[in-house]
Amino acid sequence: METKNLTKYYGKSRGIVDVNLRLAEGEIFGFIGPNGAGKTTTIRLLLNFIFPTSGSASIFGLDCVEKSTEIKRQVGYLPGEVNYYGDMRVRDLLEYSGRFYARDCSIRGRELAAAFDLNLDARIEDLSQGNKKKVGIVQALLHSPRLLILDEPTSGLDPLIQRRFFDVLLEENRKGVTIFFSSHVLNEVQRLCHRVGIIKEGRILRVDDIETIRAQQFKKVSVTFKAPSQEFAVGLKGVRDLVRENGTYRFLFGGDMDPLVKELAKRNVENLWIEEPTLEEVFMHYYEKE
Amino acid sequence: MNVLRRDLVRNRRTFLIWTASIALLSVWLVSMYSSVAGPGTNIQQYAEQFPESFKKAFGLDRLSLNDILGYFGTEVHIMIILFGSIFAVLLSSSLLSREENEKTIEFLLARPVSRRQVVTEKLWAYTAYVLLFSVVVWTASYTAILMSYEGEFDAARFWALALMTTLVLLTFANLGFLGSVFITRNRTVFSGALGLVLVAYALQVAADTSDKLGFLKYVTPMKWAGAADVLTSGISGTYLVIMLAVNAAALVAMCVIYSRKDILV
Repeated sequence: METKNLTKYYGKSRGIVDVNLRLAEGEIFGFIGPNGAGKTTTIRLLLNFIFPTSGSASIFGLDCVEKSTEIKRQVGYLPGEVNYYGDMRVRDLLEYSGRFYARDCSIRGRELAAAFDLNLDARIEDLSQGNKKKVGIVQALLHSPRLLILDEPTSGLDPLIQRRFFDVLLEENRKGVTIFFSSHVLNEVQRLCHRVGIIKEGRILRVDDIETIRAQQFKKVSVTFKAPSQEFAVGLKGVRDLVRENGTYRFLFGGDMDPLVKELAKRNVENLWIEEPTLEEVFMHYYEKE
Repeated sequence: MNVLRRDLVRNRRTFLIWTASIALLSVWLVSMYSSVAGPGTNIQQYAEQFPESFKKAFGLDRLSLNDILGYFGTEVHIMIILFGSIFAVLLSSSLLSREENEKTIEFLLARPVSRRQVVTEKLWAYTAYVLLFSVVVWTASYTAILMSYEGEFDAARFWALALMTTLVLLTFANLGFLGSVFITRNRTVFSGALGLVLVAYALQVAADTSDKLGFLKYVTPMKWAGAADVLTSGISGTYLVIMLAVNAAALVAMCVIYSRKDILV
């Protein structure tokens, strides 16, 4: 999947501007940004629900506007907000969906429904939002697509189902399925993705390996000294957000480790924690900085 | 075929209710005729008392209540064409707008099916139901006339009226379908559909009653299947050509616009 300077304006208001993304086959890509940043707009462009103002997108080497129908044979899509025909039963919907694809999906449908504990005889209008989402998941996976496009896939799912869902996604990924998903919940990215793209106000800020992002960024350091009155870390390069609390110093450290260790060695340390920040913390910083 | 089948199933009940109601109403009105009129009675004399423009509006200037087709054309046909058109427009305009309203269009367009395919299948869905509606209603009416009326009547004229009316219903359906690309909100769709048909009817009355507004006959589909026209002078080639052009234009516009529309739900 690739986008080239993909741009969408709704009249004068911005959708996305010059989005360039490139996904390799078989990777899991997290598309991260706050609400209104343009995640859903990008996805709608990929699926040709809307037309680009300029630029282009392609999936499997096929143009997203010209060859949309062919592309969709091999794409599974889970919308952020699941809306299905209220008068149908779950079984009818899955059958209806399955009939669009030139393969028999009934066995896989039953397996997936069982995996997600889905009642096939329930009426869709009677389902809770979470259960609708489950129908959405089954529907997206039903025809064994090569690419999964998931818009905020976990909103509304309880943690148990969420875990099962991730297991299924990883399983699919092992089979070679590429996964593109958008989210503003950063922990889910951390667990799943190989690479992450950050979008803000319609523009891609950066695309990175998840490891690189974390490695480049800060460590979370907390240290307690036996002699609490000592001054510490003032003037040390790379220290941010220094807080002193009951004799414990907490700060984010983004500089060279060696001077910090040497500085610590001069003192009488009672306790020391050096932790990876969660992506949440990393991104909060990132957003504030830009 | 998948979308077509789904839409036929989904609108089955609406279709049945409309068709049964109009067919029954028509049968009932036709069978009433023999109780108020028959060979040897002159009920047209009552109609003669109405003002000229009123008679024109109902076609009573050209049709006579003394024969069954005159009665059918002035009293029954108007109801078939009015309600039939409303049914046709409501049905055709709901097919796409409902998908957008209920946001299911997102589901549909994520399937490997082109927009043109979706439009075509929905077109067939309402065309099938409008045709079935016509077949049932007109066959029922014809049977009712045969059963209750003892005099002679010109069956060819009756079926000519049936044909023109059916074509007009299809025209309304196509216009409603085109309209649903622009108007997608439920309530607006409903009033738009009703408005389209009633305005068309008002224009027909204007064309029939005023010489100055006579040109309106080319504008309003309702007039193309006006009972007084068809029953007295047969099928008009001019109207057929206009109708063909309007329908072709509506459907081409529909396809072109819909395949470029941004679907935002």
